[in-house]
Amino acid sequence: MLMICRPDLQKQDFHRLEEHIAALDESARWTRRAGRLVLQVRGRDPETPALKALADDPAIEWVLSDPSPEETARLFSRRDLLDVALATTGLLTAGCLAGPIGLYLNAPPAYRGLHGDVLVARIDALPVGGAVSRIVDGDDVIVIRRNADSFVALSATCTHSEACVVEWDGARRQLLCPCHRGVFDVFGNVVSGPPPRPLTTFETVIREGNVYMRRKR
Amino acid sequence: MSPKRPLGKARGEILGTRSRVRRLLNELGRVVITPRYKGIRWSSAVILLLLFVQLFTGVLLSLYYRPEPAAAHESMRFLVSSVPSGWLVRGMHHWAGDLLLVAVALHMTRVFMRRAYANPREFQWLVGVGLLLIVLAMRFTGSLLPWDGEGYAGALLGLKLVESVPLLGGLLAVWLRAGDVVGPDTLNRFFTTHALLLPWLVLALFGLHAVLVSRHGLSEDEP
Repeated sequence: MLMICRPDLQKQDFHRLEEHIAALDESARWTRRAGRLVLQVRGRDPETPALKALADDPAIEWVLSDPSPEETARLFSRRDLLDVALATTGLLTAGCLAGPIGLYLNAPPAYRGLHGDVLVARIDALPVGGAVSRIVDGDDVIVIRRNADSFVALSATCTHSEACVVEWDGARRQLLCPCHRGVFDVFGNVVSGPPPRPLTTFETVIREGNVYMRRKR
Repeated sequence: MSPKRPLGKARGEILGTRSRVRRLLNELGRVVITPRYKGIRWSSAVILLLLFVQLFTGVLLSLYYRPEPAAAHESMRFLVSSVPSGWLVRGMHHWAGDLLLVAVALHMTRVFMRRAYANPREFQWLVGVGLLLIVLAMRFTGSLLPWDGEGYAGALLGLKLVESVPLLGGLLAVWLRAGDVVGPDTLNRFFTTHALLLPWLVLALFGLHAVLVSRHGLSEDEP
């Protein structure tokens, strides 16, 4: 049995209906169809007093004691179907996007495991005594050309405070940390200031006029 | 089985948000789709969608982008080559920016041809022109950010155009360059303008534009 509520159902009407339902010993289920609240009651004997009281309630507008499949189908409006379709599409899209976005947000740790050589400089683009900054796998690296065919690749993250990036001072041929005045020499050894350790050194390889940095595993 | 639940929760009704969301969606739907559908009504919906795309991908890009001359180009290279979907996010931000300009041009052409700017919608049109200028400014400031040859040449040319604006042009160009020549600070100015200053202006003006549309309705709906 289907009972369709009036469209302007108030809260107190609803509570009254709930009391009627509580008096029923048959199962009843609320649904919403075509913008109306619909009460589905199992059991079709309309002579049951509790069911009669429910059906006679002024909040119930329309009672279908034996709904045909067509009548039931009419209660599903096109809008309901579109709502469901739209929500499903939205959820599916969001689900498909969530994975790639999660990976994107997490990239550096996931890519720490990379190995192989990284192109960090072109020999003819880097003058002797000059340096170039690179980001390799998310970490700052500085590549210095000591002389014609000698290159040094150092982690540019200061060993004193990891938030600071050291900079190359070409005139003094030293690396300076702007945060706490740490000074390193061209090989990354500490010259002065608070850094406790030398900078991490990476092996460099020269191939076909390019300088490659070997990743640490 | 008789679930005892209050009426309000019958279908996702929490603190009345559902009805409010429904009303907002209806309002949006009214702008995008009407029975009297004629011409390119979708331009406003496409612009809204592209603005969301730009906002979203822009935030994602800013996670990896570094607005310093030494690192800017490298950070973009890292993003495209090593970050999963990095190429996609960058490409989306780039192409959605171009498409946004196309959509804005179509939208304005249509409003112009239909005389939809006429009374009582003059202010709406002016706000729209303001939005056009901001979108153009975002396109311009964004092009320098990858710090490559193309962006650099574009910025030099664009700053000349800015200089040619009467009265305020010179001041604006100096402010954008952070001096008399394009240098490291220029990149920072462009980044601040592109990512921090203009998005808020776009949101504010777009909100105003939407409120005005909602108040005056659409010119197509009039007899």
